Amino acid sequence: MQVKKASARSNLRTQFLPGWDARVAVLAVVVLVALLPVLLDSPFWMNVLVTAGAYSGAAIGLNLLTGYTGQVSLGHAAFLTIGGYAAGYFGASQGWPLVLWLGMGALCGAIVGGLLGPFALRVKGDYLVVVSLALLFITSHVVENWDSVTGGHDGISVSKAPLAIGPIDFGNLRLFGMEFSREEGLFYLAWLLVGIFAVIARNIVRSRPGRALQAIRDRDTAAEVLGVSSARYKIAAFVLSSSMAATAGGVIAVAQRFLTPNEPLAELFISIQFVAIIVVGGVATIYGSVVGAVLLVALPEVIKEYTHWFDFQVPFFDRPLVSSSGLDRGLFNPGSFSNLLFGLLLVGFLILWPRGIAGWMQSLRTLLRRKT
Amino acid sequence: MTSTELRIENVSFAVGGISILENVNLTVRPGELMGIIGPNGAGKSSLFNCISGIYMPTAGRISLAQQTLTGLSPVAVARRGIARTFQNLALFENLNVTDNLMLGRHRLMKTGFATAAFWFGRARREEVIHRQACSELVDLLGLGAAANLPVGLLPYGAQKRVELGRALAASPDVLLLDEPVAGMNIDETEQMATIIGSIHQQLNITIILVEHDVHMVVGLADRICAINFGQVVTVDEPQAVVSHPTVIEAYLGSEWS
Amino acid sequence: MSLRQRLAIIGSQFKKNADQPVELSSSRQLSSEQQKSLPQKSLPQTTVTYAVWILGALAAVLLVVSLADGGDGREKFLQLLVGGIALGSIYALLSFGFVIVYKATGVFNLAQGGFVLLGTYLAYQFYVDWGWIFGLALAATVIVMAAVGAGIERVVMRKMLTKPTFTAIMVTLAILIVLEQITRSIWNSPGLVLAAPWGTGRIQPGGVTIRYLDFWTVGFTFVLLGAFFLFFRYSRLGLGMRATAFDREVASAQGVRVGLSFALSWAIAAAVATVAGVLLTSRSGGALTPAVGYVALRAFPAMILGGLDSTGGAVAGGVIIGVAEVMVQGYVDVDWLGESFETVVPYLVMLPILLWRPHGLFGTKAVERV
Repeated sequence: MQVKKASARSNLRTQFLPGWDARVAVLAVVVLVALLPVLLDSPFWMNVLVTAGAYSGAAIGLNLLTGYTGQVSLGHAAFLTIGGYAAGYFGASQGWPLVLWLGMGALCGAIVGGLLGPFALRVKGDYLVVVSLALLFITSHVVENWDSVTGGHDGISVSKAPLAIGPIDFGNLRLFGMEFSREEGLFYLAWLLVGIFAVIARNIVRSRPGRALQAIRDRDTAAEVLGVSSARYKIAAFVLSSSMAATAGGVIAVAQRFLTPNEPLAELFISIQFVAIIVVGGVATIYGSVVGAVLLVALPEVIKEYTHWFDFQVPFFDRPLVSSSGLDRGLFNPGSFSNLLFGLLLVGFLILWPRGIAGWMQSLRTLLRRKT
Repeated sequence: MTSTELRIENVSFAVGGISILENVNLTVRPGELMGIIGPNGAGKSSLFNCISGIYMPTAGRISLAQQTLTGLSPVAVARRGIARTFQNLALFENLNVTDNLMLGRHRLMKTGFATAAFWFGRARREEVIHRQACSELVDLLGLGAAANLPVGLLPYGAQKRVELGRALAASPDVLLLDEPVAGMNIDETEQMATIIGSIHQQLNITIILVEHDVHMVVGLADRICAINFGQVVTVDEPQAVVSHPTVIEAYLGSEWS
Repeated sequence: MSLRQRLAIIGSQFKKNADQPVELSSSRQLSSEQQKSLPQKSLPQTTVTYAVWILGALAAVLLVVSLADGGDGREKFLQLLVGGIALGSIYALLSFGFVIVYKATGVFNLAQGGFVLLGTYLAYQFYVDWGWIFGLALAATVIVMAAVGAGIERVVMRKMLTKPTFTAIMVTLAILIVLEQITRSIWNSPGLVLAAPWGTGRIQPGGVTIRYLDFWTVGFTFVLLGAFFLFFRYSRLGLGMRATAFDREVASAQGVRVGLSFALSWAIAAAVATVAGVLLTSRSGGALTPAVGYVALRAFPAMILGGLDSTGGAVAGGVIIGVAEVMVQGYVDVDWLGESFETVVPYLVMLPILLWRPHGLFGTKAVERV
């Protein structure tokens, strides 16, 4: 009996636990992330990485919804906004502690995500995309007009939101005799959340509920005939995904210190960015969400920082592609140039590499395995 | 063992004014292998869809062990222990063979999001037990080498077997097989017939088999039901059915001997 | 062979297919039923249905309004009604463009806003910057934009036909972004004005103020849409497009140039988007900003309301949404609903209707094949 159990274990391990290579890779990334604030001495890039971390968390959520459950949503930005204002209201205005205001943000996101549930059940595919657009418009409208909570057009300050869990204060972090700035503390907070979300998502997708989500994505009738209630799992996917996005939105809000309402068009752009993140990183992979988020969050910043790389004359137009002199003489300003690149990246990946960077890694792995 | 008799009583089904099933009566005894034959468009698949809750019959009643199934959702029907395969494969193509079979066991497992997220206790135990069961099934179906491949990459015959395996994984009381050997070559057909036969004998579950390969149905079935134009022509012992004049005329053709 | 015969042959081909002893499951019978209904589907009958719907919606609005207003504001109501129909015509044009693309290629085209944007700025270029006469400038813009639309279809979207819908939708989004950035980079100076020649004049029959603008908007729209309906009904190309929308493979087997139909659908979408953008800009007094592309997002509810695969529904949906939006703007003055509440009205109208009818008011329910 004992022997049989052990063999079952080892069987289990080879079947669905990560191999040693994946373990080493994960360990290396964890160590790198832990050391980054010590190694990297730039508040600017630290801030970019905080955003990248928060975006990674939200992207993991979107990947659960879109990549694993097959529900396309252009409303993801709305959940970040909801989480952000929850941080502003419960954290900064009401002074609730970190865990509570983050949790409240997640709860608000979950509730609004759950409200989308009935639509997800009745409305399919393309119609659902427009329902998610509706969410963007309605959220923007509410944020602009619910002055007592959101500050309306004037916005709301989030910088006072408490950042401490017990003795650990991410706003003023001291570890092993080292002092960390607010950015660095937030960096740890953001990436801690990424770690938690990644583990949760990974555990879910490899067990019963995650398989059910993927079954619904691939063939919902067949799933139902096996006893998988697509209603229940779709709603759960919306709730889970939106609460992750809202939590991430709270982190972005404290990093930005101040929130003002976005136009729906801007919100749509952020939502598209999230779709681009999971497409570039790899649909239906967890680590792909993180890779995609880091790349696409860094892209505009890199362009802004290194504008001179793109400051060359374009034939026919006799203007530089992007002007680094600050005057608006370039064909594109840095912002619109990076937006253009987003668009081109999205098209390029969708057509050429629909499985994203994760797909590259997969091919690389097969190639290496074949060689050895 | 409780009686898992499947009764189809006066079932009719129509779509957009077109009658597809008319007053179908059929009782499948516990542990019986019932073959269903009939020309294309006779309503065989629609009958399956009515049983599994995908279609709602316009009239009549379907029951399993005296419990009414009509009006239940496909999910609820599945929970009563009815599993099925589809005429045109309906696999989860991006998932591997094991995961497809594990989805068959969905109804037997309990892990929800909360327990799964933290991956200890029941989530882990359940996963081990059911994976063990699935890996036995994978070997039984001769799919061992392909266990970790996405089913979309497998050849057609293997996909058909995966689908059968997925239905079996649910440990059903009643198994509905919709043309399990359609499009298969002779070897694959024979292999599939052997598998179905041994499932029937060893697991003692009720099987309803829709198939065009009449030789195979005659060889396997305890009784055969012939359907034409949505109506039951006859239900009888295999030899009696294939020598029934209406069946020969409507379906088998004169060259059948 | 006359076109009518050709379409009849396509129709009979469907029947033949359906009768062939393949797998006549009920879902197939359902689709064969739909197929049989195609050649007989007569325009008048469906138009009557739409008219009933629109009149019903308007009557409901009228009832609410007369209750709220105490019968005092007949003039105001009629004025708003005209304004609403005018705005609705713009929505109708846009959603007509969406539906044409959706029917022909099965793609949900989110790039429509990009066409509005680029088209409007191009019209500005021809009309204001280069000083062409308005009609010529508009015609030139429409032709150029049709070419742009067809070109995008040929180069990018043609590759999307075999891809999952998710991919196709995201590619249209990417096209939206690219078109937007290109437009912004070419015309990057603020404060551009594209004033249409009909100016700001108005007439006042019986105390009701009606702007010339509204006349022109409605007139343009209905002439254009009428022309398209005739095109689809009587021209070789139009019938080819309908056949393509119906069943790509059968159409191409019958000698319809399917690729041409795809390209034409995008060309039409880009062309109507341009006209919509120009009309919309003149509604806002001619001030031209990149926000003009944003209107396409508000036209989505119109299209969804009508049903993705119903051109008549798109027009009806557009008018319903336009009227609802303007009526709300004119009548609803409730503090807690917030400023410019009318901008979310299209979506608020759409949501409950979708819950009630998940495929829109006039859309056909997708047949699930098992």
